Amino acid sequence: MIAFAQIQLGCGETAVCMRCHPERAVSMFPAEQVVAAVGRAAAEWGAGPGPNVSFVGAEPFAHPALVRLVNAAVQAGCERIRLRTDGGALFVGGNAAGVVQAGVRHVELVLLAGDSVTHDGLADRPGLFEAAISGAGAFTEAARVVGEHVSVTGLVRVCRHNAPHLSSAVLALAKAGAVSVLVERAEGFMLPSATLAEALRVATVAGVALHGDGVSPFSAEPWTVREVAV
Amino acid sequence: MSAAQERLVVALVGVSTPGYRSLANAYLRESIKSDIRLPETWITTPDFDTATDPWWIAYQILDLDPAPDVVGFSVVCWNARSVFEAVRVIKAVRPQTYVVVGGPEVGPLAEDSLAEQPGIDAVVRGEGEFALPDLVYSLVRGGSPGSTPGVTAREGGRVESGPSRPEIENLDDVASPYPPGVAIPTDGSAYLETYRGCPHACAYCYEGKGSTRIRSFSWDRIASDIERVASEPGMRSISFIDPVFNLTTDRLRRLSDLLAPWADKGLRLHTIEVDIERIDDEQAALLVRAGVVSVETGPQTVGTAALAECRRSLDPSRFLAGVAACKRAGISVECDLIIGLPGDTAEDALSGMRFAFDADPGKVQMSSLHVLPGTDLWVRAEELGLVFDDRPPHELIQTKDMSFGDLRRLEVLGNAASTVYRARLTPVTKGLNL
Repeated sequence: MIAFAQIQLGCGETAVCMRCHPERAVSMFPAEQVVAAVGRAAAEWGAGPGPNVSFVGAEPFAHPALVRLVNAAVQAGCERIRLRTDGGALFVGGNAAGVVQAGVRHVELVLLAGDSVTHDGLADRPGLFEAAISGAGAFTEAARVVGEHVSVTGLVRVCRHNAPHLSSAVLALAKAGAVSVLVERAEGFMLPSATLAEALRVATVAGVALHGDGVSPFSAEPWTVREVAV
Repeated sequence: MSAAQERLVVALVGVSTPGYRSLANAYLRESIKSDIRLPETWITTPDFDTATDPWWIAYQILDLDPAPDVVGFSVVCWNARSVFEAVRVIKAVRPQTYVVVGGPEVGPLAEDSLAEQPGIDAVVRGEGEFALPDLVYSLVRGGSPGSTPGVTAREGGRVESGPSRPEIENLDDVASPYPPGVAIPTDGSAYLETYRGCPHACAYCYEGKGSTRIRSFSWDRIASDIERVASEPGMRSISFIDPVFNLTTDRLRRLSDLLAPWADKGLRLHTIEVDIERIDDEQAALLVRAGVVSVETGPQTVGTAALAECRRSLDPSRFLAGVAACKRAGISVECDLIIGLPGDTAEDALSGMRFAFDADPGKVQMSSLHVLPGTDLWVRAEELGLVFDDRPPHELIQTKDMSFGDLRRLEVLGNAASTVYRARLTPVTKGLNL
């Protein structure tokens, strides 16, 4: 299907379960390194739609050179530029319109649950859930205003603390406009098959493609990733 | 309508997908207006879209002054539920209104439509440009609508069918939907057709009605219609509804000759349907010269069993070469895929998606099969194991090879992939200097 070159912006993933990662440390890679990785990804793209890049890892809006990185992807000829974000910064000021204008066409919104109490509690970020949902809306609205097509996708990292909330997280992402949700299991965590089956039902009824290791009933996913070292 | 009368008020009501307009009603309006037997007929053609509440459609029809004696609807699978609901309300308020319908949703099922929709008085089967004026004339002189060729109608408590009407042999006999001196209601775009029929006989499609026969308008008529539409003030684009715009290179060259002067002035052709496997650099150049900016094509499926069941062919290398030729010429391509064709498995559907996205055409559109009245699949549904909703728009429920759940999951997967694919920087936005 459609592939994205996945490029780490730094260490310390955005919106993780703080009960699993209480000592999480965040650091950013130098812009030069990320720009070089973008250049390599574009140059080595090959056949198929693209090049496409997805900035993951540390929260992109916390990277001091985000505008430069997106600009580098545009200049490298990237067609699809995605940010994996906790969404909190999207609703702030003109961030949503700014990233659309800069060239970002995809946002991968990370949720831990489908309600503010659980999500904000696990992320240890009061107010983050409402900001994330509002941020996704601001992104699609900013694109609508300038007549650009964008996509919102979701990521739910499932661990023993939030597994019962998988379906509600999927539903919240669907309401936020996500067309697909990637389920990522914490290392060593076995997701109960009944939980997964329920999430798949909820996703399908909500019009969302659920995918991830062992999730999709099909041998295809709406989009895939290629890791690019930074 | 029981008594003969000299004058009829006819409302031909369009209920189109948002953003579209009924070309059929423009043809029918001009056919009635140009019929010398009907000099006193007053016609209006209000346009609505399927997003409009059917009661609101009924309200506006009932509010017309003078009140229409005859209300006509062109019915396709997409608007059928709205039309039937509007008809129900119109008849409840004003039972004396004569309601006639036509179109692919009801024409092949004329008697069933009358049985299921008590508000409908008559169904025009097949092309309506001569059948409808004949029916109106029959109503004017107090004749028998049910004996009109190409019409099935209520006669007292019975349903009567007139003899079948052959296809219109000379399309130039059909009045132009765009007569001189009449402003074209437009939002900057208009529809045209240069021929009827289809060179393909795909089992899921009603276009060719099982035949590959082509009937073309004359080149004089085509030139006249293009001139008339393109010269309309404010006209920016034309959509040709020909099933295959590039039937032959010679024909495409003539169309390009006719359209090039208008293309030079900025007129554009959007989403014209093409046989992509015929397109090489020469055809692509002719398309550009004609003002074409985007084309729509298959492959519908890549599964060999489904291609055979649907009487379609696919040469993947020629298909990809056609897409590449269009892209080199700057033409955006929309690839269409149908999920759930008989013979296709879920894996075939996924292979189709991979094929379409790998071609990187510009847009990929996926939709589940709709089993349409009058098509080969409608007739053979049971044999082929197709289970579908018998109510319009006749969505597929399941097949022998795809469960209900598989189909729904493929739909959402296809929508997600299409959305992710479509969200990209265009050449214009790529050039944005940050």
